[in-house]
Amino acid sequence: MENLGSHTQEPIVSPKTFILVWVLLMILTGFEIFAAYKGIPWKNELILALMLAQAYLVSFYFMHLRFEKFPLILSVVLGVLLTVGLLCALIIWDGIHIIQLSR
Amino acid sequence: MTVDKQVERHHKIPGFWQHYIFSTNHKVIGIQYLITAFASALIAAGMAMLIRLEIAWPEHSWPILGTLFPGAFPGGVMRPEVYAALFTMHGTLMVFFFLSAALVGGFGNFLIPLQIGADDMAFPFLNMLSYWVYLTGLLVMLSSFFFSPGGPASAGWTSYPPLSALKTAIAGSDWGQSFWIVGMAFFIISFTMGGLNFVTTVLSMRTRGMHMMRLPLTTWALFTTAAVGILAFPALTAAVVMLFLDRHFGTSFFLPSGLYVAGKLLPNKGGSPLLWQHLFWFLGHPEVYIVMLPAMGFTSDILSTFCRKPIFGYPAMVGSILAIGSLSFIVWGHHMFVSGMNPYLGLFFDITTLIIAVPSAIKTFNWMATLWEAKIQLRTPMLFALAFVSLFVTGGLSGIFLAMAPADIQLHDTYFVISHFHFIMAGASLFGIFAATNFWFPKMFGRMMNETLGKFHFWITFITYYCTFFPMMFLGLHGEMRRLYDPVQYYTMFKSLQPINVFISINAFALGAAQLVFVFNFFWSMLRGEKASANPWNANGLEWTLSSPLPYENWEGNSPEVQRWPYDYSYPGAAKDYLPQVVPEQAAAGNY
Amino acid sequence: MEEIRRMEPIEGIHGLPEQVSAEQFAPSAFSRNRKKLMMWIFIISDALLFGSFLAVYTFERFISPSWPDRWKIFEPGYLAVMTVVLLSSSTFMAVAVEGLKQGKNRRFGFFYAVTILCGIVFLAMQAHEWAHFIGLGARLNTNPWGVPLFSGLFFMITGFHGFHVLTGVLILSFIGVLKLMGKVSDETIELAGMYWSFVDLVWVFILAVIYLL
Repeated sequence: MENLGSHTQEPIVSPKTFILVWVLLMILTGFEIFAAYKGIPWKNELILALMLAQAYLVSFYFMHLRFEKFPLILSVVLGVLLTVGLLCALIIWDGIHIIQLSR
Repeated sequence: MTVDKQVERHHKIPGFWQHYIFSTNHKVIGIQYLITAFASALIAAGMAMLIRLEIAWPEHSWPILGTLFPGAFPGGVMRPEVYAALFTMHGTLMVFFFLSAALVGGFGNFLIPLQIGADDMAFPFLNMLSYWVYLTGLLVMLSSFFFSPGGPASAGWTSYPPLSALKTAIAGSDWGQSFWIVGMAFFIISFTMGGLNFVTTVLSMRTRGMHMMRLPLTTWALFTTAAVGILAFPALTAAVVMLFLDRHFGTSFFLPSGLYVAGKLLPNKGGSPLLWQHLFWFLGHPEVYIVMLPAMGFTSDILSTFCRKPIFGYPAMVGSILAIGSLSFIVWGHHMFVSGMNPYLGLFFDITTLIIAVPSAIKTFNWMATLWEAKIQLRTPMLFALAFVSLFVTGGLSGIFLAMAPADIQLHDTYFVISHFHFIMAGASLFGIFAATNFWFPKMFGRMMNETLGKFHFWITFITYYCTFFPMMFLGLHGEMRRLYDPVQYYTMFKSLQPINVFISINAFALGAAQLVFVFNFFWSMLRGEKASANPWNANGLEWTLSSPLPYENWEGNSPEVQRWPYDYSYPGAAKDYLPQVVPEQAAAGNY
Repeated sequence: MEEIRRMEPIEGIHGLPEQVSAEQFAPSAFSRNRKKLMMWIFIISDALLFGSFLAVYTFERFISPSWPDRWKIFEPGYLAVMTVVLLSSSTFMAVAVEGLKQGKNRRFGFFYAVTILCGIVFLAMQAHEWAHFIGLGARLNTNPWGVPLFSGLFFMITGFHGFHVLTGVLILSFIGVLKLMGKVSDETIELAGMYWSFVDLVWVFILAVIYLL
């Protein structure tokens, strides 16, 4: 059966890929910290974007999410991002109201 | 594919301790959960009786209670602190330790492997651990009655700060609240372990031919429930950790600046009690569906069985289960309309809450359509399932009032809310549990529950349930608040409503007493009931192809092959009016 | 070989005969490996715990009139080194697991040991950072910047993360010893690797939300 053998079919990742991912991560981290330290324009948006890029690299390459089947990828990514995103967005919406009242 | 397999048992059944106490067998764990949950329900029901006694006859002296509990009832009169502790613990025990545990821990463990054709859960040891952690949590909760100076937690089952975050706020805020936090932490751990197990089991251990769209709705509901639990409980974990830090380490996550307690300004600064409400209800609302969804699943299966008709609109039923599960994450704010939350956010939650009525209505109409022109067999499980639909509609319609912010501002924290959630969450789930217990009892213990006692129990419970909780709507519409220790003395405008309270209390006592009939029936039938055949209800699920009581190993290695969905009742051309899931197409006309 | 490994959970529990065949498992995207599946679900649940904490952090920050300037408290260079150590350790772990899959035991052993070492270094650096932070006068309930929520949240969230790193180091060491004794399957090591990368993943978010934003 197709799904049974898939464990062995999992492609072998060469160390080169990992080194590439590592270099990318280092560049992203460096840029992120630099941006935050220097306070460049659009810094917050940039940091969030870099954060997501890093998270993508770590989860998809190091945690092998890339080699999982699509429904699992979808459940993991949506399950986490959507739930946390909703919680964040809605309580921060309320937080803005609280700070407006206290001003 | 014969139904009764004569397979030689080559697995030794373990000894007493491993079989009944520290068992990794999903059936034993399910029954352990169920019985523990029933025990905690009885305790919590006893608390409800005391609460009703106090409301109907406020500050009346009951000498017998004074003799039994001299500390809590000095001179036979309940102390106000005890009243607060009672409604807090009643809510906590019922919602978490009874309803969630019985539905998810009890029936989830018992039914999921049977209905998907697996031999056991994916991780049996984790499963056992989950039960023992749950039991520890329950014992911690109960021990707060004995070991905490100041009594158990008294800030309500929702434990809103500052009442719960300040040790000096009320008597129960001292040690009792810490016990509550620890007990809840145990419960969360237990539920997470169970949830991991359930989701993994349903996804990866289904037998041959058991596609997701051939799962019984019970399993669908339990699966969604477990997934919802996994996604929702972490928020409460975070909240509970922060509450603990607030209480014991002086942080002020939930405590705003400028709080005065006993004339002294507190040093706390900057937090917001609203945050707790957000986090608590982010779990709390999905929790409502955690206890609703399995009961919906049971009802679907039981209605279909006793109507001898396929369930109407199976794909829509599955879709509405999933829709309810996902929508439950974006409606939590309707518990907070009067909390000072952002009114625009209130509008958002208002709309999403009304949207959730759509999948709920789909389910109700599908149940109606299943009942339409059916040859209904009014056995005890069917009666309870029908009552579930009735309670669900009553509670659901009252929920539409509460979903609308303008109406909720009037009705919030009144008896209307109490009535609403005792119908929809507590009551409907309770009736679901009774239905499921009656229905799957032969599988659990190999004997039938007594039908006469069951019907007696049903009618008393059903009538007194409505008589207890329906009048509360009128109390609520008149503005009587929940959690009032003495509604007469301090709120003279409620004096004229007091006869309603007396009526409610008398019915509540009858309701409580009727549950003793169930307890008696449960244990008497377990020991002396009529022996059950393998398939006493002529049902289709995989669990009914096994003997009653179930063998120690479900399929002993010979997993069944599923040929059809579980709702082929009155199949055209078939000889009998039911077709178990294992019957292939060509055999349908012959044997069945 | 593959068959046996696939069946392992059942065998271990019931001692079932080998007749359990491939067809018994429904074709599903999720059905390939149940331990891994459970690990994913656990990771989702744990990620949501940290997600809740970070949501709380953002909320509390929004309702506070002011928030301390992080660069007056933390060194960007030190922070960069901490991040590099943790991200590298995650890379090493991935390389080690890959080596294990290919049967290159020496490569596995080396990178596995380096992974654990990196974890310990990270913990030491975090302890030093805490000491620095406490030295500045920060406590759970008070701090010199006048926003007690900040230090409380900082200690709670980094503390929780540090606790995860610590458990990760302990789990990896324990499994490493078992591996030396030949008592652990490759799959378990892979799962431990997933957990370790997850700890790293959380740090990515903590870094951005608490230190940088």
